[in-house]
Amino acid sequence: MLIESWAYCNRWRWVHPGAKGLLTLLAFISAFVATQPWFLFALALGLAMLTMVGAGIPLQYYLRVFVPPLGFLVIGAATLAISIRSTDSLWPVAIAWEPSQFPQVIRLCGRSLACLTALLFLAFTTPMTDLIALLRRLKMPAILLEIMTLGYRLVFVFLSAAQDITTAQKARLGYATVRAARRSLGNMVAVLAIQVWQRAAALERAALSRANDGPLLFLDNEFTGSRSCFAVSGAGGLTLLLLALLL
Amino acid sequence: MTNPILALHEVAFTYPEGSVGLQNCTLAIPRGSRTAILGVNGSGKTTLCLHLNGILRPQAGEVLFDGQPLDYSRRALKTLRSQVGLVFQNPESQLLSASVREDVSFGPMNLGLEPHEVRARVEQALAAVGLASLADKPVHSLSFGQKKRVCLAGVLAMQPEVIILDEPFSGLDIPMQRDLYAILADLSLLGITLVICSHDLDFAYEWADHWHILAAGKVAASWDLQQIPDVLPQVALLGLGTPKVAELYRELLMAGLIPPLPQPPRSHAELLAEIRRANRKIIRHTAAAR
Repeated sequence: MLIESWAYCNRWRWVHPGAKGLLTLLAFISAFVATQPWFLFALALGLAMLTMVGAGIPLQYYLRVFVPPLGFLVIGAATLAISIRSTDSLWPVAIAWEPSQFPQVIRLCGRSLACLTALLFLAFTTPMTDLIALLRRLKMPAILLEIMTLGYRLVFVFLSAAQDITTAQKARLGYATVRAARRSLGNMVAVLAIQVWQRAAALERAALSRANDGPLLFLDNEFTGSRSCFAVSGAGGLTLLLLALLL
Repeated sequence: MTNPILALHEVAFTYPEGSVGLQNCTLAIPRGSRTAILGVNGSGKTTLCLHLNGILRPQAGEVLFDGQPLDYSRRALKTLRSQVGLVFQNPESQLLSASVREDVSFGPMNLGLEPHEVRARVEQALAAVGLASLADKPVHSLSFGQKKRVCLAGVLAMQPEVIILDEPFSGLDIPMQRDLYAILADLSLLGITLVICSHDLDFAYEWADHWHILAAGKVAASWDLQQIPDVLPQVALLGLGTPKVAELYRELLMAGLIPPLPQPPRSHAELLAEIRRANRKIIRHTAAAR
């Protein structure tokens, strides 16, 4: 939701999504091509600063989204950095640091952070509808795009329905005890499941009523100054790539 | 009636689960008219709407558009739906995209129009419903009334000849209702045939020039504007009540407080104007008598 709200009101909302996507892609490639850990961490920091300072995302909101995935990174790094060996002594398992893996772990962390910040750059600055339109222009299979479009729209419909149902349940003490809460939650899931089917039928009827013939067709947004945006992002991305290759 | 734009002829339809939708339903919708389809909940209004744009196919009888029975082939239905637009009651069941502009562009894109034409129609439709300033907002951040207006814009962008609205005023606050009323007036002036399903008799009395009353899937009555003031007792018998303006006018007439008028007032504003006119006459009379 946080990314959602900022995607619609950040400073770079009206920059062509293709230009933003191009920079993200080139940043990803740079992250995979680079070997120097300091470059990877610098790349991550640079992208984070670009998102916060350039697009105007406040630090506190950025961190709220940035920090949770770090948990996965820690687990991944730990799997590499710690070795578990079986021993003949009383305690059958020996857990120890594996210093030989440290360079690889650091590189992994750097690469992951760079990729994460690149993705957050795109996510924070581009609304989902523009992203889907970009994928449409890149000739992604129509069926996948339709699933994304409808799925994105329906997330909010069902969130609101779930909120309404839980509010109504709470008003009738549906969450007063653990047992009641379990039952209420189950009921809510059942009701939402039926709603999924009902709403899908209604949406299909509505689409047919607007002369729909199969594929969902939408008009893409217009973006001004696209050429300069592409030039800037392309130049920036290629610079990163060159640096990644050379350093 | 010379060539109604839409007509049903002895249409019968029963839903798969057994509930009766329509029974022996015959009605006609005149071109360019303002038709109200009235009935209590469950009387078959929505079922009727879904027959008018070919979503449901009658099991008996036929539906006619422009004097011709409906062709239920895919291409013909697509053409029909470009000329007969339907705005459903619940906006959440109609909005496909999370972007306002994108959703409104859905209809014209389906018609195979060029992008510049689609863009022009989208802007026109959004301006017509007063949402031009909200065109860049995501749909889920709009209020219920605003979502309803996006749905209407989505149909307007297709520039149909007929627009059917199922309970368009439900859930709207007073300012939004007034706005919608003004939009409907503009559409009527453009010659678009409007069909509104409602159970609000006061609105129908003020706005419609043709009434069809549905009860349990049947057409209980069909009346023109001229006939309506005389048949109000029958309307009351059908369980829909009486338009408040008509009731008040009758009582004021019987009490001799206002003179009989050639055209009975149909709206609250008109009745108020008549009462004030009569009041001024009384004041002048009393002043003259002194």
